[in-house]
Amino acid sequence: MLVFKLMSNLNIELQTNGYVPDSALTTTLELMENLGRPLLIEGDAGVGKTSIASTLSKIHDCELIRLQCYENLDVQSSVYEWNYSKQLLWINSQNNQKTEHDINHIFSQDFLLERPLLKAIQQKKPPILLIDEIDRADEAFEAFLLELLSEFQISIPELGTIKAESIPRVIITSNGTRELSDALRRRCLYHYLEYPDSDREFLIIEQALPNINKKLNRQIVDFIQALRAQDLRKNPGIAETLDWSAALIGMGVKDLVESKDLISKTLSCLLKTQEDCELINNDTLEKLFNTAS
Amino acid sequence: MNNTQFSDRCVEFVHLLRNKGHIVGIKELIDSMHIISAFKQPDKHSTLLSLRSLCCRNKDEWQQFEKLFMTFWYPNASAVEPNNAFQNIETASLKQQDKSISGFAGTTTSLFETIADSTDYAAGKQNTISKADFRFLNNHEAMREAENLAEKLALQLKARSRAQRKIVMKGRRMDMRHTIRRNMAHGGTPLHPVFSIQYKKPPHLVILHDVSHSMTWNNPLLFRFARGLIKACPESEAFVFHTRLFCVTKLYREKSIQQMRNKLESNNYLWLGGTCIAESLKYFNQNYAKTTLRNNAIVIIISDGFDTDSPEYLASQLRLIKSKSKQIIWLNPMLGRKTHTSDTKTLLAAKPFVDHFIPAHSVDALRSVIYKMTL
Repeated sequence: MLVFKLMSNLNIELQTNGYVPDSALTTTLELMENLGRPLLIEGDAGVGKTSIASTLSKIHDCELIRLQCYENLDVQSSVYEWNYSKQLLWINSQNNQKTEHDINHIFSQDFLLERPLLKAIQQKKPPILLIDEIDRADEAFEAFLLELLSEFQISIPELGTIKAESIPRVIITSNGTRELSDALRRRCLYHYLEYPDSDREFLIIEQALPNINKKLNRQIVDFIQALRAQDLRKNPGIAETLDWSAALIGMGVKDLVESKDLISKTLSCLLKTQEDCELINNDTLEKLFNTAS
Repeated sequence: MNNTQFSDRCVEFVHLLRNKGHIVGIKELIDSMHIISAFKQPDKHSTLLSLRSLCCRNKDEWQQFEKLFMTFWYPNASAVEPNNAFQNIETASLKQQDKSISGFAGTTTSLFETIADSTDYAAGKQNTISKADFRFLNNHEAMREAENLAEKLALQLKARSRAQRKIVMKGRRMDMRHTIRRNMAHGGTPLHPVFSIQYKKPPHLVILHDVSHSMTWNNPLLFRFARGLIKACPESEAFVFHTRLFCVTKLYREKSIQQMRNKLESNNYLWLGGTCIAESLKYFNQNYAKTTLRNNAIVIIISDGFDTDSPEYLASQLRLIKSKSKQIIWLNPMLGRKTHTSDTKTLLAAKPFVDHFIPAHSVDALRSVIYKMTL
């Protein structure tokens, strides 16, 4: 029977390493640790999905292996590739007589180039394997991942099945630009990450920018939260909030409401489309300032 | 509660989740019971959070889980308020729906029966059926035949899309693995190179289907056509709308047509009221556009264009859809009928964003849709 070790200090460790989690995320990460299952994290861009992986690698003091997904990502780029130039050189260095053994030899480990997924399962110490933005990859690649995520093994036709030396902690992120298959979802724990609430965002800014004064921090948080409530095409994420906060501190802003003109010039840190810039006109901005004050 | 009772309750809870569409297997059930028993003093909050991570697979399930959990485990506690706007909208929409509506051939639709008159159109043969206006297919058998034709026609789209990658002897991208294997006899020197070629994938379709009162005549066939499109293009998504919008992709993928019909009716997705096209598209843009639209998506709107929202409102929503997709095709049953006119203001407002307006009053008219798609 499985024995669950609930890590009471995980929350503190995450915070110590620069990530401010909510209780739901901490619970999910504890489950991931105990069940040894991959974790699928969905949420809008900029809510802090990817940074969970880097924080976990710091906590566990292990390697972070990242696979950035994109359209047409294939096995050759993600799992393994044969070192063709080495194979050709080796073939040419041999006598003209080629035996069955020679053919088998050029498809051995000596000629194999590891890509992120293969590298992840061949580590002695369990790494953090981040499969980022899986929704950008094709369904075929998603199907290929199923074997890795359930059995932690990879089948290479020429070489056979390679089993994991240690079970990596797998984090898969998705921005939700396409629906993932049920088969993939079934193999993972699931967490939907939302934009932080105001208290959590306050802590995030405080941790990232320790010199910020509390009043300005609170005003920034209120402003950002109110901005996200607008019907924007691209809501400002945590990174945008931190960039904006750093910009304001750099410009010597002490009070958001007293520096309205300056603030409106720095909105390019937060608004990323022309439509959003048009939407946040002077009247809307005034309302946002009122919320912040 | 002793261990057996607790196990039984856990099983019941998992059954409840399954009934609500969650995919929860035996493994999840066992893990759930382990987790709860692992807590020294299990409390409501931590149990809820743990089970949610374990038993949910997507955003919708995630958002409805808290309510299900509280209803099952704490029935006497005050009802959990929906924690976001999404749930509020869902709850409100469920209350609005009319429960006594159907829109299929073979089901009793008094409106359809009274309006569809018998005319000179003899719908006994396939070629006649394919040309016949949907309104005049009042013969039950002919209707079925036309539905089958519509679905078969949609499946032709499959022939236009091809597999992904194939090994060939002539091409532009050399496949090194196969080349080396083939040229072992020449010491690895690629005297006989092998290539691989990329084939087009099936298009990614997003179908937005108007199921309001004014579309009742046409929908039995258009449902079958839409179902065929979804079957031909596995990555596609389908939505129906009237004053609200619902995702029906899974229903369209039902193996049995009857099952699809039953589920559409039992979920009250059909409607005998008016249409809010713009409002429905707004809901689509807010909740589904991100997951379904991409730069190769072809959006197919099936509607007669009668809209209670303003044309400007519709234009603004179509502009958003257009910015995220490759092509918008509007199928309008009214365009093929001389005696009927659509709401021209609506169509004029939509025109800048719609690549093709195509009549959709007969199976033959639908044929052009397949060839208008830019694959």
